[in-house]
Amino acid sequence: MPNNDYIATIGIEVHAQLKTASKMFCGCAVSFGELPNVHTCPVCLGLPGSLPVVNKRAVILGYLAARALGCEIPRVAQFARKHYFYPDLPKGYQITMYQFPIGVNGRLEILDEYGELTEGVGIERVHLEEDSAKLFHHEGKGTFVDFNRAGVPLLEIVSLPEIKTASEAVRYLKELRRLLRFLGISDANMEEGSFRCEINVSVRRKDEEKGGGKVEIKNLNSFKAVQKSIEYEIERQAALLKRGEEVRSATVGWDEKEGKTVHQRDKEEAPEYRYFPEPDLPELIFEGDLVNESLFDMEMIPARVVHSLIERFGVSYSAADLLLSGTGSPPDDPYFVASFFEEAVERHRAQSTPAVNLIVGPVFEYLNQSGKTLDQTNLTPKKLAEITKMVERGELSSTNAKRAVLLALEEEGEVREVAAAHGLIQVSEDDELVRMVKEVVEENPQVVESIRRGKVQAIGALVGAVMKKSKGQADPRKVNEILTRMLMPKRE
Amino acid sequence: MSSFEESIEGLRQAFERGEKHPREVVEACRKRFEQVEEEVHALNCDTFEEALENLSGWKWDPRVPLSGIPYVQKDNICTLGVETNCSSKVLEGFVPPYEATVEKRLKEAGFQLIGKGNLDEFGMGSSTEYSAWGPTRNPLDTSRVPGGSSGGSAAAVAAGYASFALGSDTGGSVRQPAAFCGLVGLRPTYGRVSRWGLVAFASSLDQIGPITRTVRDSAIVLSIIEGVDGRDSTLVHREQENYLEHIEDGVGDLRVGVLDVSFADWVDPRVKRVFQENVRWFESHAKSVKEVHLNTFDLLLAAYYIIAPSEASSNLARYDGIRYGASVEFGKKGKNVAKGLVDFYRKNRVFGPEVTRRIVIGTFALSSGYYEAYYLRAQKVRWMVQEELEEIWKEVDIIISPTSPTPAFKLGEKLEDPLEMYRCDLFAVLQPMAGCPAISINGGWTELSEDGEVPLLETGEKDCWGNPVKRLPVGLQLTAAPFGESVLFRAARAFEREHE
Repeated sequence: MPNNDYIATIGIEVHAQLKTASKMFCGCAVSFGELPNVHTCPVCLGLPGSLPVVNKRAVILGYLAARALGCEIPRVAQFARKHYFYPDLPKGYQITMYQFPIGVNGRLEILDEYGELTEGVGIERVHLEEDSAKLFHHEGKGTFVDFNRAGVPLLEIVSLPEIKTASEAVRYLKELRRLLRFLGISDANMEEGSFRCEINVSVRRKDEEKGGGKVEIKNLNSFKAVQKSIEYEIERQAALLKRGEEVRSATVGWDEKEGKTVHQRDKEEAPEYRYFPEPDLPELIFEGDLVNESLFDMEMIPARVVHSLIERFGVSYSAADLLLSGTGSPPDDPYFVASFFEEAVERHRAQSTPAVNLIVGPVFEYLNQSGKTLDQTNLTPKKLAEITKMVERGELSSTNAKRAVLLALEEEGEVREVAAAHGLIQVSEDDELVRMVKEVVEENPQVVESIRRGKVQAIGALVGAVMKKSKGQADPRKVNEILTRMLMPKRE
Repeated sequence: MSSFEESIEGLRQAFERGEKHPREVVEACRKRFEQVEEEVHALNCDTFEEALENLSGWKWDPRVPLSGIPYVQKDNICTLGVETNCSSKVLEGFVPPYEATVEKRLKEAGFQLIGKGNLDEFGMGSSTEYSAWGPTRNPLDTSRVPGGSSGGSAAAVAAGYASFALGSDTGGSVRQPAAFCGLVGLRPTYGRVSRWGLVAFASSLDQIGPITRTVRDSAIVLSIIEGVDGRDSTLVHREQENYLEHIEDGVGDLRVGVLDVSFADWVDPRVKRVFQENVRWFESHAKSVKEVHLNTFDLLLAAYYIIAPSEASSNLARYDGIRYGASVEFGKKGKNVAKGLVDFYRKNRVFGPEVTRRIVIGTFALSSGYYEAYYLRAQKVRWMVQEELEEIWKEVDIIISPTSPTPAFKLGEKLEDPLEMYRCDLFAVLQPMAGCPAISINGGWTELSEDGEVPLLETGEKDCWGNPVKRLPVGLQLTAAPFGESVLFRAARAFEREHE
């Protein structure tokens, strides 16, 4: 950043669609990409006389998210009505949580570039709400409303303004997305809109307390857009301050094509939402089974799993991170690949670094190409471990190890047999044979000398001597190989 | 009395014995409707034709013993395929593709819908004068209002269109019209009857209740419409009670509290005189009678008129003038076109004066910085009165008071002064604010008594059948602790039995 005199303060609001079969307050299916207005009913259309009923699954997922984000869970949560007029809001208010969210004062742990678990970013609050309908603007024809999305359960996660740079913001969002995906809370797909973020950026001079107004960036549908738009905004605001101009609080939209933010509206005044407790819904009380039951283990949050893989197995951060990227795992079990690796190492004594390298290398490549997930192949933790052991023993070269893995992915049967059948196994050099060859070399200095001078055919005499010493047990081809390697080292 | 004026129980018996056929009853109801509706204007629309069609192959079936009995649904309760417009222009033409739970249950029991009762727009009012389709008149004296907001429902029953009607009671909207029309009106405990399909006015106060001719009928209807419904989360799950089992047991074991303000200055002397007699009756029949005082009473009306408009302003936010009602198009010329967006909203959001007033009050009360000062404080009044009542219920089983400070008043009498209109609800907001059930029955009449009391009636007033008016009904209200409906029915029935 060229403007080193300026510091940015960044806070992020994320809206993630919860992974539920039905909507937040009615039985309509949650869908994506279907014909408009097919999943609607009096409740999500806000028709007169309809009443909301809370989706229990959504509450459980919201609770799970709050726990995973280390939030305090107040005993009582309460829905409220947030009023504003917009064509995508059929009741004239959104049912959300205001004074009493599900979780407060949390923290999302994030791994730094060395794979160390850091304090991460503070979470102000986690709450549930309903999504609005979707508007489609057709030039010349007007605006169309699709209520399929109206009432879809949303989880809102508000970070503290603790983020300083665009990269930190992206790291936070990626970790949050991974957490939501791995715990089955949300598909968290930015392109499909199931993971939406609004980013507040303000900038001040390093040596000053007060800086410019808060600018909210909207319309961000990729991490690249997040990165670039924040960089752009920091730059823009710093430039304004440098010129002694004012940065006004505003909402801006990210224009991907132009690579810049575009002013949408000023935000000098606080909006009037007329919040009040939703009288149609009872309070949510968190007690009893739901709270006592250990729904999950904090150690299962993805960042901690990555960290523990690094600690326990000495694998690199990038490799461990890839194991927890979701790649290769079935959708309902994102931990599959990491567990596979753990089992190979812990139960079947695989060498950890070769094992992880095989997974993130040839295995991922194969899965990407075939469109399969790891559980759909014939590779098992035991087979993987076997391959790393054969490499260690020198039975497989690194090239052949990759080929053996590919065979193991596709074929049934023992790794050793499959590899042997494909001629991948290197000649075994048992110590006894090497010892005998060494003895014969020491016993026949003249022959050795003549071979070194170029009389290559003399090697036959030495082979014969070894055969004699081994009482005919040795494999003459192997003996020949060892002698060749010992007496005629390849020149660089 | 002719057949159409009979009770649910009376009709049921006649049908079972084959003395009458529901078709002839509905025909008679329709005839009465045709004779007096022009003057009374109780219904927003009638469905006699459909009812008669439904009854064409009717036979007595012991599995649906109440089948064939006609009723009126208040027009803020959704009826499948039958326009439900809450007497508001913003909902004109709205035909619900779904129905209220209470409507579904009545239909399943075999009852026949014959029309939709007029009301004060969205239930906001105490006289049915605030209907966008014009006022309903009291069948007992057509110069007077039938009460409100369920005035159409009450008038339809009083005029003999149906055996009973459903109303909705937010701050007295079932009880007061029942009282003005000489009928029985029940406000059940909040959480007893599903609100699914009731177009919301004030969600935390609204409750649907029956307007009937008899106390026993009230109990019968309640037992049909009440109970578990997965679509209303504010329902309280309870075992079904058989209200008729002990309904004739009398009041000999009941401790009765008389609300002290029943005799306050602001209560009409004719009402006080009738109520005094009512108290005397309880004194000679109940186990005990004592005066009860509520410290919070004076706060209730003010608090009610914060909470109800606040919730109303929220519930009515959806009527944006685009999705419902007669829509004005954009255009350049002509009366029915909008010149720009502001004009479009102005022409389409056509709420009446009372609804507009409450939306403005509620919007103000909920705005940031005012929420704590108004809505939250008003909620605290609710908690206070609930606490206070908890103590009182240790000493008395029911509390009695007049239903309304006055008998039915003249059309237009209170229209100029909203506060005067709000005062009609003085005895009626305690129950919704505290979550208690209450029933209004006819306590007596304003007739000339033997000691020469002046009847305070002008001369020349007529009922809807053209008979001169000699007297007006005065409502007696009985209130019980939450879910104390069976006690209410028992006490109300005992009183009714001796005053038939």
